[in-house]
Amino acid sequence: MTGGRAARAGGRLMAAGQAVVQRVACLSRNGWLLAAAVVPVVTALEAYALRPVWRANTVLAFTYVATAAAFVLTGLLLKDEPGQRGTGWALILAGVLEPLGLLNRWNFGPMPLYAWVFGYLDEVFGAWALLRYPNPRLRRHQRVFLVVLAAWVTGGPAFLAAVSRPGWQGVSASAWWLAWFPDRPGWDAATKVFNAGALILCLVFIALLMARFFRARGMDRLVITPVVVAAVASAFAAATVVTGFLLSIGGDGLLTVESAVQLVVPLAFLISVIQRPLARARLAEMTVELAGQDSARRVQEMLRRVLHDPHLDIGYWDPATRRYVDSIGQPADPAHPGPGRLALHITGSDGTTPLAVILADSSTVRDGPLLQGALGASRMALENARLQGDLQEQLKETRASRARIVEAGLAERKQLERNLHDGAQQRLLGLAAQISAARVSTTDPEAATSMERFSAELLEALSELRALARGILPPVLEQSGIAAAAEGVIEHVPIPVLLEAEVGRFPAAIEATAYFVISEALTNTVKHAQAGRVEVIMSQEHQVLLIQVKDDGRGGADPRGAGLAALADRVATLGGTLVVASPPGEGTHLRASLPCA
Amino acid sequence: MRVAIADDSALFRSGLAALLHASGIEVVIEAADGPGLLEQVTRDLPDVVILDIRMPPTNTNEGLTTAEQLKESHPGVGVLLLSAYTETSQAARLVEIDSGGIGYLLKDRVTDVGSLIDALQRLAAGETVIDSGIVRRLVSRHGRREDPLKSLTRREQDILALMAEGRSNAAIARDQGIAPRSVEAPIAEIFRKLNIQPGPDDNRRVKAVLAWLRAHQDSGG
Repeated sequence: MTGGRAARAGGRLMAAGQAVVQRVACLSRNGWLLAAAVVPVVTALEAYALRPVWRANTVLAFTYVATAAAFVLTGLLLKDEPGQRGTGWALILAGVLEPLGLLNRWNFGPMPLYAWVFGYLDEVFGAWALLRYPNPRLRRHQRVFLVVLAAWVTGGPAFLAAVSRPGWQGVSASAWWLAWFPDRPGWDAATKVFNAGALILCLVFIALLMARFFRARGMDRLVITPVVVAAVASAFAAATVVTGFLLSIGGDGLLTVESAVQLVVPLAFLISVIQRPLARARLAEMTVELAGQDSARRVQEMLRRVLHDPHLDIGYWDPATRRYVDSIGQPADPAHPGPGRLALHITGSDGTTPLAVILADSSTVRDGPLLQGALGASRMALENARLQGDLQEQLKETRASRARIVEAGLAERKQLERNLHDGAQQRLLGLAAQISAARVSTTDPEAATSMERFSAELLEALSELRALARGILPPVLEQSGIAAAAEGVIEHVPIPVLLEAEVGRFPAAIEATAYFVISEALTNTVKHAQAGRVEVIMSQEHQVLLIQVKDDGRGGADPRGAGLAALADRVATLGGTLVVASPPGEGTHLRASLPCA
Repeated sequence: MRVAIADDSALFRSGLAALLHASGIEVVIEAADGPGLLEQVTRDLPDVVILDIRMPPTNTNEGLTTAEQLKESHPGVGVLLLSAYTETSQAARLVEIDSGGIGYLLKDRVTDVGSLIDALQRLAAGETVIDSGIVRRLVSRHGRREDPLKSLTRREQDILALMAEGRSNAAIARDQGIAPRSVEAPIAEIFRKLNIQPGPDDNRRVKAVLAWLRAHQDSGG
């Protein structure tokens, strides 16, 4: 068990490794040169832009450059994911813009003013990337939030620059600054308001992320989890920095920590991107597993697991009612899958025969290849199940038609037996009575002798007729059941028979078949077995009539011989089984089970 | 002796009537089914009624039902049931009609006029008659089963069969070609082996045998 699990985990790890390699390979096709050129160039430019910081605080500069490089690289990787082009660009912009927030350290010309006003733009693009992944369509309140955030983090500092002098910020007096209405108390108050607002925006952002997390379903939930965790972590880091500003305990240390924490965001995106190939690896496992399945029920279970959608439902096509039914037979309506759900139709490999409809979370469609794979695997299993079902149905129909033939044969035999009894036999007996009457009346000894001979001949004819009728169906079978009929059979067996027949009555077809089993088995024993003794044992166990005929003869009976094969057929018609064990020299044991529920 | 016949086969009925007539027995009623017979019997009571076991409408055991009704309303009338088959289970049911004067013969007995007339006379006298063929089959059938009858010797089985037919010791001795006194020992042995108390009356001996068969039939399902 553990070994199997370890092997499977190993397999997943391999798959993940392959996924990364594939991703890199994919990148080389699409823009490996770009990435190879862009990332070092951007990194170098960033490093140059932070030249003053390298001297003052190497750790801070290094953290910022590393984070920037990670964001750009992740953005480049992500923008080739289907539907994630915008997210990729947002991450690239966030990465490029992040170190520019430290341009104020140049402390001349427009640098401090740019850093002051646009230093938080990277946060805006980061927030945008985090909110639009993996579903690029933003909700209204998310868009409002982003606009407010952008306005606040640019408009707020611009206002502060307008009501302050550069010196108040430690900015060189020669640098550009707005300083339109310098007012120290107003600036102090406005700074506090701005920082408080920024803190509130951090908290709102965290709330938005949590809401997205709890709303996400299926595959989205899976890929969103690492991203949300990283985003919440970096939002908390940002909130901490802002709180530090509010309490005037800010410093480069705090900025270093915040930037370092932000490194988890590109990492989270990478993990998230790898999740899909991992899911596909699981799909491959599922395909293999499903290939060995014939149960449609398992398909639902597997799809739920692979698509990470515990509420996924399958409606199975019921050709009889021409509609879809779920696993408990309730009708499933593909026209109204419910809010946030969609209906995916699966047709047979001919493309037209409906097999099933999958009611899944609408996020499922985002991963096209995974979904296609899952649907393909499901089609295979569902089609197998359908074919098996058809086969079962045909088998049932064949059994029923065979049973009807047997019933008809049985009725014919009964009629024949009745005709023999009421017709031929009564006629012969009537004749016998007439001859006897004549014999009694006659006084001619020669005529009397002839008539006695006629009588003997008649009795012989009668006995032959009865033997014939017995081979058809004895009247006692209908009247008194199989136990009594079996006694009638063994009366004609010339070897000792032990009969155990502690059974009641059964439907006519079962009694007739049981009768033929016993007759045929005993006939075989008498003809071929050279047995000294034979046992006929009938018993009823759990709705099954069990008939056993055992002899101590020479064995070696061939179950495929015409007689036994015909008997097995007859038994099979009633859904029963006939087993013959006949090892040479060890007697023959015939065992027939007839279901009689 | 006056007899009534009920059989759905007109050919057999007329043959049997001719046979009985030739043997000096008066056939007063001929009916094709049970109800027809019962109706006429009430008006003109015969000594013995001969019934085919299988008659319309179901051709199963109408004769037996008619016999039960007849015995209930006229216990004194002898009833002879005829069957074209050795229906041993039907024979066992005869014992349910718990009175004398009832018998069961194979239709084949029409070729054996002696035993037929003998049976009719014994039935008229209130004895019980079971066809020797049926009894032999019953005995041999039980003889093959794992039961007390298996312990009987061949001669004891034959004697039991004759007893079951209602034969006297003298008749059994004649049949077996032995001295009448020599019959008593095997009979005592049969009763001992079957755990049946012997009685002086032939009829009771038959009943004892049939009662034993019935008990066996019941336990055998």
